[in-house]
Amino acid sequence: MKDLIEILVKALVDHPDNVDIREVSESDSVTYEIRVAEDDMGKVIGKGGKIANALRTVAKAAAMKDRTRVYVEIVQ
Amino acid sequence: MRTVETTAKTIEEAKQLAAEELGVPLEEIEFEILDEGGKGFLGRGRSARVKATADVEPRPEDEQQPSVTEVGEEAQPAAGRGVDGLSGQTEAEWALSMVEKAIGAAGLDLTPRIASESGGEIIVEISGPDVAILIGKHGQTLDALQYLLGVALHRVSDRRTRVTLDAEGYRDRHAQMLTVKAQEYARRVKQTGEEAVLDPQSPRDRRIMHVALADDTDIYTYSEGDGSDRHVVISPRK
Repeated sequence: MKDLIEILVKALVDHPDNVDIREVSESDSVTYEIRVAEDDMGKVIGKGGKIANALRTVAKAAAMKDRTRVYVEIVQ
Repeated sequence: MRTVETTAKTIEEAKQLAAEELGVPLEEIEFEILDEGGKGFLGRGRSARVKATADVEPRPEDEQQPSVTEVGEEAQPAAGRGVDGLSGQTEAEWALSMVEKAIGAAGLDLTPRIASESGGEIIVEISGPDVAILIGKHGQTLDALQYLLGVALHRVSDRRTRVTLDAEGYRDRHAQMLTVKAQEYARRVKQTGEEAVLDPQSPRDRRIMHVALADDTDIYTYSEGDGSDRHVVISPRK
């Protein structure tokens, strides 16, 4: 899952080397925290959060296979 | 700058369709009337046709499958090698390898292939046991991945090529289902004489609804609402 988010996010930003994805596991869910270069923030959020929402939708679908609840957050 | 040509029963409807297609309000569009339409010979009404130009860039969320209305976009050069950040791949190769990587990382049992590559559009067809997961509820996962892929491709190539993801013929099945739904609504509107306000839909789905009912002279359709709330309304013609 982390790989999937990383592949997609790196394809969207100007500074792929600054992409950092952290996996925070809790008892019933996993949160993926996405960190990108400051000037790339808009590129992973998108107009009206459109890109961030698309990332969430894809991540949730991939999580259906492992039956886990996933959250995707873009962190400053 | 983008130009589209639309055909409908009346000039007003053709303008509406064009605005839908371009994703901008009517005021921001420059129209050229190609055919005023009206009563044709032998009672069969001639369609109205307009050419609409607006100062917009084609947006990835506007991806549409080639279909019934004429969408006259400027001719696009065939995808070639060695543009921008494609690292020597063609756009289709780039898109295919991105989809392969994403599917692999997601651990899904799916195989993508290039179904077609022409007219500025690349269609990637994906099949396999996990196809239902890929499609998602109302196609939302397929649409989300397609959208991300489109945005990513436009970053590495400036050809404005559209990427359409399809999954075992889902796009066609979905369009047929919407067409049937549109006709059912139209029937009800004619029976009751009251307009039907549909649920919000994507630009592509709204377009399928408009096109499905464009030839029905007893009703007319338009879209209202903003952003993710934009939906089709079917009205009886008095």
